[in-house]
Amino acid sequence: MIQVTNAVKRFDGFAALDGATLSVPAGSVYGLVGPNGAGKSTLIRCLTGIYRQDEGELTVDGQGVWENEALKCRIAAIADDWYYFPQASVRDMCRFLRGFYPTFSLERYEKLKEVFQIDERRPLRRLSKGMQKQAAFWLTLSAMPDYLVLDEPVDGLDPVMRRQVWSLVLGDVSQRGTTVLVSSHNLRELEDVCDHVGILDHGKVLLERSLAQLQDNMVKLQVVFKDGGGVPEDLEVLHASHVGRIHTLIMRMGAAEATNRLAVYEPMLVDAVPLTLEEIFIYELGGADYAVKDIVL
Amino acid sequence: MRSKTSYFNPALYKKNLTRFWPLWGGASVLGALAPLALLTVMLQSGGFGRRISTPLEFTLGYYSVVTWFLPALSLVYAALCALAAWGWLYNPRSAGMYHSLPITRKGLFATNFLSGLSMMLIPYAVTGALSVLVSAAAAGVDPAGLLVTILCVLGESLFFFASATLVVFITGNPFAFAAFYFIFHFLAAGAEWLAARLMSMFYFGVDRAYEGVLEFLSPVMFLTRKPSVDASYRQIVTPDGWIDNGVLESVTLVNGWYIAVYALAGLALLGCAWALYRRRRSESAGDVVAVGWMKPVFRYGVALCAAFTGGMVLYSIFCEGFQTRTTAGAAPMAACMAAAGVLGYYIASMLLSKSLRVFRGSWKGALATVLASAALCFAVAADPFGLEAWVPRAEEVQSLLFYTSGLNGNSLHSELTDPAAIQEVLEAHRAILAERDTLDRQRLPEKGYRHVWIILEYFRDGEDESAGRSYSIPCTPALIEQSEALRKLAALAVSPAVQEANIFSSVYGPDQTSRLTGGYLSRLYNPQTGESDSLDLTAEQAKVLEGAIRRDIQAGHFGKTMFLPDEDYDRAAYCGQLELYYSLTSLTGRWTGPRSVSVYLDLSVYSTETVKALESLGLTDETHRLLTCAERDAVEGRLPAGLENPYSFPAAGSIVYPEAAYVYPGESF
Repeated sequence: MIQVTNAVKRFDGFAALDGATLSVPAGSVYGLVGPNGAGKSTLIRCLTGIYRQDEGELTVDGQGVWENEALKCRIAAIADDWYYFPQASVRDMCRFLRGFYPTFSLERYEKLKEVFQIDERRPLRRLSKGMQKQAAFWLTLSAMPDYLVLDEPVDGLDPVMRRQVWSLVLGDVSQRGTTVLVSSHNLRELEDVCDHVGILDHGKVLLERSLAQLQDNMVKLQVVFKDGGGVPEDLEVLHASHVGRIHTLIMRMGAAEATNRLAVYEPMLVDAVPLTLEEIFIYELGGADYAVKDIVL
Repeated sequence: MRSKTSYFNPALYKKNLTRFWPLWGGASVLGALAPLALLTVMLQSGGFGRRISTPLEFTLGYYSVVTWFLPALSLVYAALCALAAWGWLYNPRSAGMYHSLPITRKGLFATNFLSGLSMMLIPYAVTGALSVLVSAAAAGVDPAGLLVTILCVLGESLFFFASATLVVFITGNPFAFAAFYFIFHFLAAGAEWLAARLMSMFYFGVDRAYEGVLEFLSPVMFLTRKPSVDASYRQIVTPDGWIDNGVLESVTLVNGWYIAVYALAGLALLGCAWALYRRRRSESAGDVVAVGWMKPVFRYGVALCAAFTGGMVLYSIFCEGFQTRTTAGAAPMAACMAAAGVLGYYIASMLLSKSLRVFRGSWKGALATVLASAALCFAVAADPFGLEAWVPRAEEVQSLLFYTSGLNGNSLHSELTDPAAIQEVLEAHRAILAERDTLDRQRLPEKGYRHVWIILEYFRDGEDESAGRSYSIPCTPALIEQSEALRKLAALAVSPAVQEANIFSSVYGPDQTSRLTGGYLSRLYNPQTGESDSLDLTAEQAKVLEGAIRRDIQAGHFGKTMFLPDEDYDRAAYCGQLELYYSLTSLTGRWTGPRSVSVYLDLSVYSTETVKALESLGLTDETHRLLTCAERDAVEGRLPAGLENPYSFPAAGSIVYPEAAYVYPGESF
């Protein structure tokens, strides 16, 4: 479990993290979303031991990450600007990383070779950006970490490879119980893979929920009222819109409760439809004042 | 869960060495060229044993490399190795990758330091191993010399690489590293030089650019100058009495312990580097100065250096031409220093903030720089230590070096130990200072004025402690009449002690034996043919002339032409030059075998004893005449226009002797 409590990190007086608090349950895939400059990369660098937070606590399995070699053996990260030695090939980097990660598996490395289909002897600098990213996944997944920290991980990957990579990551989650913290500025990117989501803005975590919690707490219904009537005034809705006689209502409650509430108005049609992550966040955060629009656009 | 921490990571060490093999590999190849070249030369010169025949001679070679070459080489090479080992700190991406790896900073520090040190030592090891092989094949190995050499190489490598490592953690990019590293190694010497230059611009006679008081803080200079090689030779006397090439008996590295001290200092620097690394923020990659508290030090340090250097440059360009004295004015210098200091302050601010927009709100810092620069300038100009008026007490001076240039291209250079002569020089020095206001003048309205240089170097405790003054003072006929200082200088110029030291100090001394072997007399004029002739002198003739010269010295005949005006000089000075040859042998092993030295004497009509001796030896006669410069000019047709008759020579036997020819200033017939 990753626990961040009131983390503060300042750069020349500017607080990139300003009391961020979040909790990543073990075995979960946690999506950390936020606009550019929200502090996602800073938080990740703190979690991987690159930066030391000025205040607050960052622990993984109850231990501080800073200068904790044993713990860092269990954490592997792919930075948004993944670094490799200028002359190195994938194989060279493999040899290098094997010297650091006791769990690095050559067997896995060989298996993943078939997935990524990159010439392992070719210098990484000669590969395209997308292929370099693939190489980063190849090596990082071969390290068999308990914690995988990914910063904007699929930027530059084509859709097929994105699916492939996520499939591998989720495979590790389900088979080995790997905990994944993934940052992105795009909610849609994380929608299909995350079971927990946190929104970071101006160095603070504005909201964090499990996907189940979010979906249980909010419902989207399509309703047709009798005699073409409108939404009753006494009905509590977060948002209402209509196309012809079909009203679309967003309500902060479960689907069953919402259906019961509507039953008193004897609607001609009540149908619950799935909410996208984007919609949940927009309505949950009220849409205004927060940078949600930056996240979803 | 926290397990043991590893201080060394083999994968990282190996990666460092394999990544940068061209660096240490190339250096190894270049280093290997030296012993291989030596081997080739030895084979070409007819096999081993011809040029370097004993292990000690190899040791002498090793020590020479250690004292002359090793510090500068290590300085440069350590910078390259440090960039190889620590360059990742300067790139945010690579710094992020390294710090995210499962290794502590302690482990990173130790492993990278050892990697860099290995890169430094591998080429030395390769070169050393090849040298030992060549030595073993040629003459054998001197284990003690080899061990000392290895320790010196290890010590210097450790020190220079540790210093480079410290600078790595102070700076945030490779350009700043290179600048800081070399400044770090020359800062003390440079600061001393700047301070000395400023003082020499303010103080009359203080013209010392650099004395090396703080040189120990500029290790590469210190290690090049202080440790030295002391070789002693056993001399072989040949059957005919010559002392032939000696056999090297022992080689000692003098002051080698300094290297050990610097190695220990290297360990201390390493400790500082580790302390900085612990506090270093990864995000400082790319900054000029990576340590927060050092930023103001850098800002005001650059401002101060700029105030000194830029101030002096600005003064030279804009103010020096208006000077009425040889020394600088405090107020214009303060203005120049303040301007240059402010410039340095803003340049440093721009470098620190990586932006040109540094002016807003910076007036306090700029004002502080202006005030500090001006205060510093006035403080130096006030001469709080009395450097300008300093004259040593006679009992403080063990020996001194007295140099003065004459008005006609001649000069005196005497090292004096005689207390009476030292006292005379001190009095002349005091007289110069007493007439400072008269003598410290940039221009004189008088026609035909010239400056003469007087350099005084006082020694105490052998040659370990010295202090010097250097005066450029105007010299005109009127001033010679009026000035007590110039009169004392003229008296010094004819002093027997001064002349004896000037002429014979290079050939007679306690550390050498001298043998007069002959001589040469040049530019003797033959009126019958109109041509010049020269004569070789035998050892016997030279001996007779040496005696005559000594009599002239004792009579105060030499040096009388030093301060004569042009026309008088031309009439008194002979064009012909006497040269005496000596064969010297060192008694201390400073050199091997006999060494030839020549003593040149400018003769004049005052050197009567020598001129008489030349006549009595038959070296000068009707057909071999010594001509004065004026006579020579007449013969060569360089008489001033309007004079129709050529110069008429006195008849043989009626050579005009000085008393009749010229009255030396202050003398009478």
